Amino acid sequence: MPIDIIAQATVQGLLMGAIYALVALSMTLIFSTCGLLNFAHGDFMVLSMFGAMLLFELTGADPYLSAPLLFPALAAIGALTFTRLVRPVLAGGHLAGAQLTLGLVFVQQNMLLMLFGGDQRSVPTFLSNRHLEFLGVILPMPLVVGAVCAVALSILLYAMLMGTDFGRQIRAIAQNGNAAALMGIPIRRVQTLAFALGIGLLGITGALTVAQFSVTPSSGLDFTLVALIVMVFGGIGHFIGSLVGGLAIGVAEGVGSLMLGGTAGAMIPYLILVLVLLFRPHGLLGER
Amino acid sequence: MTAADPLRHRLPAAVLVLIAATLLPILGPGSWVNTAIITLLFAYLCLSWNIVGGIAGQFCIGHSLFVAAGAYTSTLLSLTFGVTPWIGMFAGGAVAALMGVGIAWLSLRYELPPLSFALVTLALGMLGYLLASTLDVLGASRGLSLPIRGTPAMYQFRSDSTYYYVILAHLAAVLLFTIAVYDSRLGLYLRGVRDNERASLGVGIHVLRYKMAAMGISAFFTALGGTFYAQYLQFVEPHTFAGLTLVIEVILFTVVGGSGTIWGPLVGPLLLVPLGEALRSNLGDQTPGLHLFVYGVLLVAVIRFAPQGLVGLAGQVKSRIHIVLGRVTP
Amino acid sequence: MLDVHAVSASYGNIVVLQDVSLNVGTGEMVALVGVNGAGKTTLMKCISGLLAPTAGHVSFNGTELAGRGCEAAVTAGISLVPEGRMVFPRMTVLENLLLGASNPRARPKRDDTLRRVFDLFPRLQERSGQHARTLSGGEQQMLAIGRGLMAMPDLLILDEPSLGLSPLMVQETFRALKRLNGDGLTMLLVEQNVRLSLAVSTRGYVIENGRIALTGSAEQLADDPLVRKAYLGL
Repeated sequence: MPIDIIAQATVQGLLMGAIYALVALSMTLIFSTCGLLNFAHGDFMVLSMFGAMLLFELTGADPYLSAPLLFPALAAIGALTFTRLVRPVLAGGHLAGAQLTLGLVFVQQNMLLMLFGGDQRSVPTFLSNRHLEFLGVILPMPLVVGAVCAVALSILLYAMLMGTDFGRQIRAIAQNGNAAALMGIPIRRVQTLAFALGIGLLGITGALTVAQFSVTPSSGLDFTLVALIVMVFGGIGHFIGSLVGGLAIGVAEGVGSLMLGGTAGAMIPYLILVLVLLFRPHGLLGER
Repeated sequence: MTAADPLRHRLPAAVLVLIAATLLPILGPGSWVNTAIITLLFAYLCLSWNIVGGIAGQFCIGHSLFVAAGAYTSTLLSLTFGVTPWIGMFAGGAVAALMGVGIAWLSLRYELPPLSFALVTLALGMLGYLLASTLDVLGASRGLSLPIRGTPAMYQFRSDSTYYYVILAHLAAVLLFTIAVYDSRLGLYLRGVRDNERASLGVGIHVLRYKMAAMGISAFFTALGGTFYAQYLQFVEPHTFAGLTLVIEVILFTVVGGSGTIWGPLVGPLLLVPLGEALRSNLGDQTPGLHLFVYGVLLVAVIRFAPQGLVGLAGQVKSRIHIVLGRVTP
Repeated sequence: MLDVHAVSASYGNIVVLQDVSLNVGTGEMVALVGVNGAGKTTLMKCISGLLAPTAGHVSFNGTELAGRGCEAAVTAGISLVPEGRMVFPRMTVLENLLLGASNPRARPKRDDTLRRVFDLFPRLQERSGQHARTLSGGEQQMLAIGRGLMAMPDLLILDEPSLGLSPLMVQETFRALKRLNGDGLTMLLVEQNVRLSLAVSTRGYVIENGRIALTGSAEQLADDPLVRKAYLGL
């Protein structure tokens, strides 16, 4: 197989991986602070994509312009979801929380289906149909921009987690909830904010990538599954791990489908998930 | 209350329900039969899932594997070797049981982080789906069609009401099994495992062995449902038989009815499947997805406000009425 | 200062504490001793807000705290150094200490408090950039105490500070506690190490099977024939 095709697949996989990583990071943020396994994670991203689409159809606004609007919108939805639904249910255990989000998947998917129909959609941006050529590799501009923004947001998130009081509090809750409570950390408020931040990030990610992915109301589960795989691969609650995991899964998927063909390539991430869970349950980079 | 007591009133209740169900094709309007068959199929699958997902509390999302194992095994045996699905269904059941025990052993032997079992089975389910869509032996994404021979010896019937009685017999088997097991030593251990794994380990229950047993039994029953579904539709195809949608619906109906109870997995689909079918046939054209939306809202509402499911809610209401009437049951 | 009155607590159907009363006055160092499983840690959970008692009152400087959660207890001025230390393993020593000052009452003076903690435990300053899980048991105990002090408490509660430490480390830890108490910090010391805790305390309580069995001055308890027999092995 010619080397330039492999290079193309690798670079494209890395860019996709950067986006996967951000989606997984927001999932990790929510899982490690709130203890919620969110099967509706990707659906919130799809919600934001449809939001960008609606704004475009109503006002002609470019999705890149809608991104700053969709962040607070999704964050607010996230905060409401957490305080009204998730938190009361999580008192009954992890499982009840996960089951609740399965219900949310049905609600969101079919609400979008009823409102917008089931056709595949995509929204043009001012970058659509432009390409970036770099050392013989040709990359669609929306993908490049999406990936660059995803990396930037991941770095911002990481800096926030490592360098601010709020970030330290989030990590403290993730590492030992009881000890965090004993420090007088306002657990409920930090959880609500972390949940809102996680969903808000999906708002930005959705708007930034709607030009790259053509989307249907049922696309959410695909994003959720990828995020789950990346999160587990990198070690649940391990932020750097999710970043590395995202890139690795992106490349594995890109190169894998090139070498083995579509369906077999699509199996690779799941195979990785099973193997990692069974043999390295704390992730490839996780300790213990 | 003695240990034999629950059996004494659950068994007659179950028999009554089943007898009433035998009368439906005779008394009910003809157009209901198809909905009734699908309803009973879901009730059967829910009761089967409930053995491991509810009673033993191991949240398995991979039951599509077992539906597919049943459907594909019996269909392949019948297409290539002419083996009747009446035998093929047990072959499928055996394959599924082996898979189930294997998966349980692989994924439950360590103390994994919470919810790992759900993730492993979810990923295995997706792998199964992708595999079924690729392998030519399994007909890839086109699937396999069963020849229409119309002989009961080959598990095919001219009349839909015969299919109805066949799935009703399946349902009776798994319901009676559940009732028999629920208060048996196995049932008590499984519920013990669910409620407090550490305590069960402490009193010397071999937790892994019981989880494997629950998974094997649940997979076996589920596979028989897969064979039935294939014989009823007269084809096998990855999306319907190996896709996640079916499992998620099964889990949803069970949880709404009351996961881990005896009657919940029966009540859930009996209410929701006909409701969904009615919504779909009346409003499906204008608003596709409405019935699934309603399912989702119901699931969210039940988990939020009645975490024990509709059956648990009914129990609470009943005991409150008893208290109000001043005749608290001893 | 701290007034625990007739507190009972249970996990499910298992009653762990029954009608426990205890008080600590300003400037005192009070020991609570008892064997494993007597209910010491459960009582600490009730005082620090991790667990809501099923009955009774926990009041601190006149504020009722029972069932109001950890935040209320920390705000009122109670800081618990938990059993098993519970440091944040994948955070640096400095980050652990900073987290100790999460409460609004301590946050503004965080830098001053940090300096005082480093004065008390110079070792923590040397290791401030290291992850907490790489510290030795004794260092982790210092970190847990330092983190507790960062909340600027009026009452510092220590649950089993000697657990798992070498005799030398135990000596060093208790010397630090003695010094803190000498500087005017009120302390409640929960220990299995009866000899040592009675030696540094002014008063003591003996808890048995979820009830207070004995109370008195540290000398009285140390001379009590029952205590000598059951806890001191004399």
